[in-house]
Amino acid sequence: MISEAEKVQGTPQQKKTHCEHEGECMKLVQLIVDGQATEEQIAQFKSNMDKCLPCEKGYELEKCIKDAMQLRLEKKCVPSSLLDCIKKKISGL
Amino acid sequence: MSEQEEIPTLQTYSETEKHRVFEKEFMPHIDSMYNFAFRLTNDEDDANDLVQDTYLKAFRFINSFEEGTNAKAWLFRILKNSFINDFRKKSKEPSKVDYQDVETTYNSEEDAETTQTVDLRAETVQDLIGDEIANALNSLPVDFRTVIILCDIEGFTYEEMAKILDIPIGTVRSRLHRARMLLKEKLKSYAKNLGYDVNADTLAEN
Repeated sequence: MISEAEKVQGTPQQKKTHCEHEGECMKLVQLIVDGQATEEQIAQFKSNMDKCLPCEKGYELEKCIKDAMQLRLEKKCVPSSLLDCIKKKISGL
Repeated sequence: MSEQEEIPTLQTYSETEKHRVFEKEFMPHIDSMYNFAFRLTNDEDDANDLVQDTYLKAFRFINSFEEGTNAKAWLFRILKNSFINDFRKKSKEPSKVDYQDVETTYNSEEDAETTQTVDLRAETVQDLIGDEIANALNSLPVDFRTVIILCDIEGFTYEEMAKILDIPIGTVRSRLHRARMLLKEKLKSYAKNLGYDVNADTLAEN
């Protein structure tokens, strides 16, 4: 059974299972995943993630979804008929 | 770019230069533009019309584009405005959500203390195929879908997105956060329907 103190503070062996700053941490996760965080924010989050399971899991999920968006969605090529049509119209201007 | 929009004319290209700049700066982005248009409209014919309209406008207003600057963001902005001004009006899509209300609520101090979380595991997302992820994305209201496309698929920075969408960076952040919350809810729903036990420690596929 995990005590309330351990939930918040964690122990050297065990990460805390409840994050008391989850809202702020998840905003930070978004900045980090999007490459918009400062070095200071990255360092702050890395230090926190080492001690906090919800933050670690939250980061993994956001990163995984972003990767899925980048890599697993079908990328269409513009139809050649559209390409030809645009070029024809532009050359006529 | 609407007819009414004030467009500063910065350059004076010759006709030959216009065609050179168009070919060099704009054409390399046409696949990205087509994908953006398709994800906004969910229709190939509408995507064709939207891209064509955008490129013709880009040529028409080429003197307001400075060669060597961010052509992709400039083109995306024109396409987004064309979509709002021309396509969304005639589309059958239900009226957009009042995201300003959502953002106002999200940005309030009260809400900041009670952040929602979606109980979804990274492993579950990894098991979903591309079509399922695409369906979840397509089911989002267009304003939320747009920020995810611009950020996650096209890799624009928050600053670029703010310029493309004509909104403050803080609004980009909050809209993106809200969009991702909705996307996670959709992904969770898809995963559940496909038989994944999204809450269990080990995945169970039916």
